Amino acid sequence: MILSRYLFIGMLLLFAIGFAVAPLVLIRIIAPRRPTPHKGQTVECGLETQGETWIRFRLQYYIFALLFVVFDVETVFLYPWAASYVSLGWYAFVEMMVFLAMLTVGLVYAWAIGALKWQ
Amino acid sequence: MPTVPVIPSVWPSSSEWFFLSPVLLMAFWGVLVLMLDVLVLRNRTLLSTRAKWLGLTSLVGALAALGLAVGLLWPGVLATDVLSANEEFFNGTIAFDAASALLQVVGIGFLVLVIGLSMTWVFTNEQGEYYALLFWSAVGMILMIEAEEFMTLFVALETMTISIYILTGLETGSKRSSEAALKYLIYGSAASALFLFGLSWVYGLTGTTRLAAVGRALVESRTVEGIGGQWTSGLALLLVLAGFGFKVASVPFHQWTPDVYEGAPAPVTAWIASGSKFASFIAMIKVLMLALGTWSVDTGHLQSPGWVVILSILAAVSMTYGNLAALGQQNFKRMLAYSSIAHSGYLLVGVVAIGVSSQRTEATGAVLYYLCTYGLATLGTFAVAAWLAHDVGSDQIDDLNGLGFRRPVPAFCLAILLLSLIGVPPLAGFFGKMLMFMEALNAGGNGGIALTWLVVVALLNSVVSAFYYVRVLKALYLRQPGPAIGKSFPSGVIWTLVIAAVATVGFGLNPTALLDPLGGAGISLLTSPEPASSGRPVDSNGITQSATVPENPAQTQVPVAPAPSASAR
Repeated sequence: MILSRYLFIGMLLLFAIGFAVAPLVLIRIIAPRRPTPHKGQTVECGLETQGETWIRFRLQYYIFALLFVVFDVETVFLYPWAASYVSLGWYAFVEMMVFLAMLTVGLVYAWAIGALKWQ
Repeated sequence: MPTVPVIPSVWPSSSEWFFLSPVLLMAFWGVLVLMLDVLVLRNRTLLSTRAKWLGLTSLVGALAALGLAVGLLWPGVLATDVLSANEEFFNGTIAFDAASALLQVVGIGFLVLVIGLSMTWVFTNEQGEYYALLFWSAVGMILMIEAEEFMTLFVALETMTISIYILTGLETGSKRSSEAALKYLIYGSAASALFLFGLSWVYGLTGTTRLAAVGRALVESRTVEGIGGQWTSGLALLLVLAGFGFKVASVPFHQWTPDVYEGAPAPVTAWIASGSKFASFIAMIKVLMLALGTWSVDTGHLQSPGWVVILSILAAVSMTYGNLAALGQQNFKRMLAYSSIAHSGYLLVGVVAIGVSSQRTEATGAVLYYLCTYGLATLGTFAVAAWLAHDVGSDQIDDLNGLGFRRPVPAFCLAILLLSLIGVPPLAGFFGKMLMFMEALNAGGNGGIALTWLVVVALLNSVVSAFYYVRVLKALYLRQPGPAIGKSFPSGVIWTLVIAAVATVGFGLNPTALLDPLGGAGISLLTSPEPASSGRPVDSNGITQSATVPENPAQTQVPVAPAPSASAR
């Protein structure tokens, strides 16, 4: 039945949750806890923490975030296509070129309206 | 059994590309307009010059797409054997039939009028983005009408709505516009999520995303035990209906409508009220009839009353709420927004009629007729709302006072459109309503669900609606002209009004001119393709197999969307 096809996904889900939760539970149980002011500080790559956590981020970041997502997704699609390039043939090649052309239009647009310039 | 998605490794045939050419042209033209703006015109020309050139370019593109779409309808351009043989069109995701061919002409026709209206004023700095998004929302709209498969339908729906969210907020320097866009986005995203969740339940119950195959699987599940629990069917149905309810602005999902209609630039409002509603209703009919036809009434395996009953209630509530709320409005756009909720109610009566009528194709033709004529009337009335907003700087009904004396032609056209919206014979709105209500009364030979009560509610509502439309008519002809009326009408508004009024009168005097082709479209809209016969060649790599997993050959000869069984209530 259909359900059995999704059994593996369900098992994977359970395993993934367990993988994340189990260490936390384990630490709760076995680790000794003796908090000091130094231990309670925010860890930031070993540097001294500066200022508040809740600061304003510049709105301009969102364009970089968007562009990052666009090219991230591009890589996600390009990689499996490149890996099975030979067996996919011309159809997939043309499709991929159309996809890349669309992304290029997006990049050209972002460039032309000056979104890539940091002000 | 599950149909698995396969990668098509053969090129779609040239006739398939040809069939999609209007859509492809519009998608490309959007890019072209955008690039023309950002690479050539922006920073070099004045805003008004830029707007003029971009508008003209867009109009040319939209007219070319319209020409292609009309050309496809020409007898002999697409051989009928190609039309009927092609259930594998683009891997079975897009309907390649007379309904798609005809309805895309209507959709692109709306686009042409909206572009003509947009060219009249410069209300945004982002001219290139504006026209590009109009084109892309039209692409989503047409693909939504043509979709034969849930994922295609959902992607097309989102292409349309996301473009419209941005269009709503594009008016430069208008806080109301941004507010409307935000409200629309938040409500819309929630509704889309519910809709997608519902589709995933349907997929979970049937193992396929194709409308026809879902329909067949659900028909089988009436006799075969165990394909899905009762509660899951009911939940899936409710979620899908919630998604469509938002898109067509029917009552429990209507809260966005007044604010968005009022805040969005008026041409965009016209586009939402005509194009988006048109596509959403057609997609709704297709999904409910082709895929979820079995769920039209409770057949004992569905823990819900079935969509006929649910939609009847939604229709009654939408009509009543929309009309009563419109009664008190002084604001022209808001009044039209509430009246649009009411008209969604009338159209839902038509959708219910398709579910119960013994003449399904006639009922479908009636709904399509109403959608076309209502879309035109809405475009015309919102053209006047746009004129009020941009040239008079107001949106009050009182500012239309005395228009009939100072500007007789536009006022007369507006009067015709308003009378058609009330449903006064012999205008198109009357025949649309009459045909839909007749089909709702025509409850089939099985003596099943008589929708008499619903039709009575609808008729009472038509009477109520006359009050607020007549208030506008009174302002036009019985009041002393105010100072605002000196403003002249731009040609874009005049054209839209005249086209809408002439069509309303013409299709009212001769309804068969529109009803006959739309009835034909209704037939092919409700005819789902037979199971794939794997007649397509496979390339040397042999990747494409038949799309159906060959465990269950007994899929033929099952009527999709069967008549509701004789459970009289």
